[in-house]
Amino acid sequence: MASNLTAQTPNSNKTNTQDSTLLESNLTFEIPVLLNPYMQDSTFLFNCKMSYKDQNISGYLGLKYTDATNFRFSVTTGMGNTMIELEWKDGEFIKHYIPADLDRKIIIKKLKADFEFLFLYGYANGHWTNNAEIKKKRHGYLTYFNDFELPISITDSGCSGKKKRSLSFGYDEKNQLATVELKHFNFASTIQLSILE
Amino acid sequence: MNKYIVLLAGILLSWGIQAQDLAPAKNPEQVKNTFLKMNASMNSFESSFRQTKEFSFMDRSLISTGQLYYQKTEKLRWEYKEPNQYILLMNGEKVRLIEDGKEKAYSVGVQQIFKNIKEVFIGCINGEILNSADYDMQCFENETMLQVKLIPKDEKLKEYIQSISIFMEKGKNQMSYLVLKDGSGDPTKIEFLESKINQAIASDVFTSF
Repeated sequence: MASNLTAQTPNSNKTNTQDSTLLESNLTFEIPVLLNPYMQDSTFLFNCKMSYKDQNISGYLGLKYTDATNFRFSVTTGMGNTMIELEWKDGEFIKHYIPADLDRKIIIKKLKADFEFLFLYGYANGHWTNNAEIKKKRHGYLTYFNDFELPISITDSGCSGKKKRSLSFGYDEKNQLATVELKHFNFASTIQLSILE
Repeated sequence: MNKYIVLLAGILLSWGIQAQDLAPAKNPEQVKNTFLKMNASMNSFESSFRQTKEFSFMDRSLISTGQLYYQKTEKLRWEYKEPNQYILLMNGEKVRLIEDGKEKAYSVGVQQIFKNIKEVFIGCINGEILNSADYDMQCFENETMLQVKLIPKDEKLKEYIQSISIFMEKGKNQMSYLVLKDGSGDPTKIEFLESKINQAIASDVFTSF
């Protein structure tokens, strides 16, 4: 598993020991580095559970993650049929596959917002600060990291300060990404991912 | 010397790949009839299966295994055991999904997918799909294999299934594997392993979880 680091912050006093490029450099002082858990590998297979009100869908999610702004994934049923396949590439949002029944503006808008949050789109480049809220486009993001500079929770609040949704990350004993959960506070909707063994 | 070994390996590999390819059948009707004869002789079918779902954008596949039971004419139990447990019970028009031991309600969109799955899977096993006017059929063969490829005519159905290919080893009167291309174009291969044909299957297999 290659660890390609994309995010740094001057606000943390911790040193990340997973950054081999840092250890090999000639720097004589410690630079804190906050890690994006999706950069632990280039591809992931997850168990995926999505719920919206009383509707539940279980299946799988295949993800190819190049960097914080370039990734592609598809969600399949338990039987392997693709339900949606979306990509973020060089600033462009691409719908590779979505059935006509689901291809509605309001659904796409919600899916896009949720998956951008879930996969940390546009959030990783230098803006991760432990236990402090950062403001971005009328949102406030409060993030907590563990001792290995990996995020354990991110809460997204609107401009009024009211919590809108949160992300929780779980890791295995080797600090590899194991689970991710996105939860909405203003309506019953969740996306749960767990690494497929 | 190494260059020659690599070249030789390349030639052998490409020859191997070509040998696997199936060409359009010289007598498509005969190929279709071979499949229909196989379907007609099958009253029940039980098999373990291995399913490989490919993703076009990454080099990892999703592999599932399980057990399939079929009883003529419309009873099917499609049971996934790994990596997750799902049971799809089909009995006539009814399609039920059991997940984690509980029967699940599902959305209209998913219902449509299951309806298509039912039509395709049962149709492939009982042969009805080969005579369906809803699909264009192409037949292929090589020295060892026969293939029937079905392409939905209905644009709505094509959104969910681009094509279905049924493969049969020549001289063996049973399906070897299916390849389904879903709406995204990604292929899913379902290989049937350790199959039993026309052996008694307990009736509760199609009703109980």
